[in-house]
Amino acid sequence: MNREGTLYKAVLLGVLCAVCGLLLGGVNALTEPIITEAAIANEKANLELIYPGASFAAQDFTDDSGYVQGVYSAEGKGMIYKIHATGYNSEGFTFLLAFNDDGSVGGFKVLEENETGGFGKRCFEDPYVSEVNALTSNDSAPLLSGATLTSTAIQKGFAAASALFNSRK
Amino acid sequence: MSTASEKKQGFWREMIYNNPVFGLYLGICSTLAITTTLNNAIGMGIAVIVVLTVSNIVISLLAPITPDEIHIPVYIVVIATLVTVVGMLMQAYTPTLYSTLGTFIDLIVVNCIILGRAEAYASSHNVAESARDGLMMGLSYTFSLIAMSLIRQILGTGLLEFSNPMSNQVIFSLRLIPEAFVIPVFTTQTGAFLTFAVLAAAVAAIKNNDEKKEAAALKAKADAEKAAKAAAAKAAAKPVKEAA
Repeated sequence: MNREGTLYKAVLLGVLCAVCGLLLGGVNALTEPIITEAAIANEKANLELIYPGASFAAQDFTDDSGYVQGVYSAEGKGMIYKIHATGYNSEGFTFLLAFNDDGSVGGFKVLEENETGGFGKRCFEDPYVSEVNALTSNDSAPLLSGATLTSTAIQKGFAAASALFNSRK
Repeated sequence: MSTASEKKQGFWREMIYNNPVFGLYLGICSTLAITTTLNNAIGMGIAVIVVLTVSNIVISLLAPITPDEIHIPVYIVVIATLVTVVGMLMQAYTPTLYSTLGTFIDLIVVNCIILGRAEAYASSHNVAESARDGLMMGLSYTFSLIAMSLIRQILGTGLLEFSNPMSNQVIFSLRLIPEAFVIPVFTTQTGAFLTFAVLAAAVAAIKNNDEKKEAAALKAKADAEKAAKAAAAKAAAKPVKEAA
């Protein structure tokens, strides 16, 4: 084959890309389970807050809303969604929302928040937390007077998680 | 590269004269960004050593069959593949280090040192020479990162600390400066530029000093040769004069 010809150059680049693709595929097959395991290990302490002692696995997901950061299955218990939403504080807050296998809320735990005490912070205290815990995946999270921005953010995050949960059924 | 530098062959001389960061001003972006801790410096250094050495070897092997028109795409494919492999391995086995170094791991692809050595050296030398060049350049880069990070970490936090990148357990932690006397600006980008400027100036001073010494030695040698020639001419002329 003529080394200066277009065909030679195309074949050379094609073969090189194929070899590189194979190499990347091999390394990905080797490292992916370890990366997934490490991601769960980091999150496991948080997930245990909702389903203690369960066996967790990270799940692939597509969330167009941008609220859901992670989805984890708890074998024989349900699904846990890690959600980041922005209320009054511009840095936002992160919480876990779980749905039991029957569709009822399995848990609602805040991981990080810096909302205003007496206002937005009430969304992470009773009676609001108890209200959320009594919902199902077909419901909408309630709004809280005096904490409209924070509860609206929770409502949107709840809707994103329940949409993902319902789509899996 | 100067004449002086070409003659310096020792390991430490090569670290200084061929230093890509302080000598050639390549790969400065990642150097300024990640040298806040010794851990970052060593992690990034090892990643660059691996990518640089292996890419030099592969490019040296591919050079004879690669037409000039597609040599840059070929280099980029090879380098990008190696960086992705290193990134995946780091994410799997050293997740904390991977998340700390963040996007700078992926940006090794566009590090001037890697593409620069592929183009300037590996493409025209044999495999063994290219591997050696990659290793030495990688070590020089790592040496620069360690020097920067030691200064910034010690002055900025007062601590000399290193932890296991795989388990994140602290291996040693030594307080060298009391907390009240640390200079936190060294942990910021301003501190990075200050440290870089001082080290680059030190390397330039060493080079200039050596070049001056070499110039003086050459001048002395030339003078001696001139004197010897004059003496020889005088000696040759004397018997003639005596004979006359």
